[in-house]
Amino acid sequence: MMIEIKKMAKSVKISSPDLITRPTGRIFYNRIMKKLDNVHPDEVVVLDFTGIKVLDTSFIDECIINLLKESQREDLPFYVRLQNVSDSMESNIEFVIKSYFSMNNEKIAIALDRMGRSQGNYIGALSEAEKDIVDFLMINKHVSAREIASYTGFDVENAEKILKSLYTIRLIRRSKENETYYYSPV
Amino acid sequence: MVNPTGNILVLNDSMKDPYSFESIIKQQDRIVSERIRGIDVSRISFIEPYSLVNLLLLGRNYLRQTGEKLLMVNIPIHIHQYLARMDFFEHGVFDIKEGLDEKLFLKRSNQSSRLLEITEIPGKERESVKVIGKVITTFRKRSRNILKYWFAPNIIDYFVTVISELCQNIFEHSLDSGFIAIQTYSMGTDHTFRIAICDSGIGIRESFQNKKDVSFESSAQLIEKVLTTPLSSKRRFGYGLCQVNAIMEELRGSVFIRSQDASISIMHHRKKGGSTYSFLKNELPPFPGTHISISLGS
Repeated sequence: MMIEIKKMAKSVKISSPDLITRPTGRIFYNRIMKKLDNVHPDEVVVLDFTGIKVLDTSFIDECIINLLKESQREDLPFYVRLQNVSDSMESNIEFVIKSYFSMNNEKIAIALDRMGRSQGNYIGALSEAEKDIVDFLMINKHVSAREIASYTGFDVENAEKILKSLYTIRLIRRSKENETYYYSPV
Repeated sequence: MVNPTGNILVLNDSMKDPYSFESIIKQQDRIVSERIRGIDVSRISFIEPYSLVNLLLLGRNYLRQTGEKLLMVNIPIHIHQYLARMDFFEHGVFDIKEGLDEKLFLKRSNQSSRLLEITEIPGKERESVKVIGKVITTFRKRSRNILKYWFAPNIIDYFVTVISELCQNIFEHSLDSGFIAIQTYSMGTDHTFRIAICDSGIGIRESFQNKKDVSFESSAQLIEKVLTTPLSSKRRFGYGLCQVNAIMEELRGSVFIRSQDASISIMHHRKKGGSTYSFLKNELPPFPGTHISISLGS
């Protein structure tokens, strides 16, 4: 599912390229959630920011962070990927995500359509092992924990643990085939 | 109405930066207790945005406490022109004996707009969100002139974030309205871009009064904490001031915050090898609210 944020902004009479303030963030979160009434389990929701220049931290906290938390629901998991994000938007999102982790000790991350400041296709504070695995998935697209273990040198149990935590924050996708979980990028 | 019997207080030339404006803050109690009739600004040679906005707040505090407007007298023509250009008198806080001759008004054009006129940020969410949107639209339109001496990538977008975050703090935390003003000014070959965002609300310390989990030794240390840690007095976390500080660090600018009786000054452009270049001050003369100056030099 693709959601064009600029179109959504026009529908709420915002012509500015800047999406700012908590009240605006709440409006967008509610609008996006309404669109997600029809989302399928494991669907990738692409938020396209073409035409938008700035999201401030208040907007990010109310809209993006709450959307990420919603995506982690067990009964209806979905994935979020950001598309056409400006550098300043990325900087603000990264700041909020890292601050959230430092204050809450709860990891969150979000997929990007391009390589970001972290040198990976995501925004978030990942460990070196997690980064390696996300990078490996970007290249190999569809792999099991066993294959990851043989590439990284981790034992299978450890690889599974990292993969599960990346899946829990919906930074990677998971599917089950013949009793084996396979992982792929968002 | 102006108090007809009080004295006129002559102000020193102390509006060149936030530090010199302290000498005017020191006199605010006297202005109210002695029911000063007005201020003589004949010695003022220059006013930068932080002093400008705080002079307006000082007048508003006087008006609220006494029900009378302060008179401003002996205004040098260039200062009068600047005050009029910045819409200083539009807020109905000061009385002046003589208006400026119409021929002397500074022209308003896109080319001369290296500033944002003093704009009131309401204390209520709904109205405030609208005004902040308008402020940012105006800033974007004028940003090429305002920021013409600075070439950092994405600098306009960064300052949109700074303005948005700081203005929101007014309606979120201060429980009063405030003002913003922006200007780029030059002295010789040195250029300064300054944003002043100030309110006369409860201040940072009081807004954290019910946050028992946030510990601090002094008011200035609390201000430093909210600049460097994502704390909020209302929610679990607050990112605004912290991100503003991070942006100014990236742009190598400076941040000055004065709240009630404490201040912090962080000079990112002076930082070298591990030194923080931040200066904390406590036990300053109390001045209601939070007063922020964000600057970039060239």
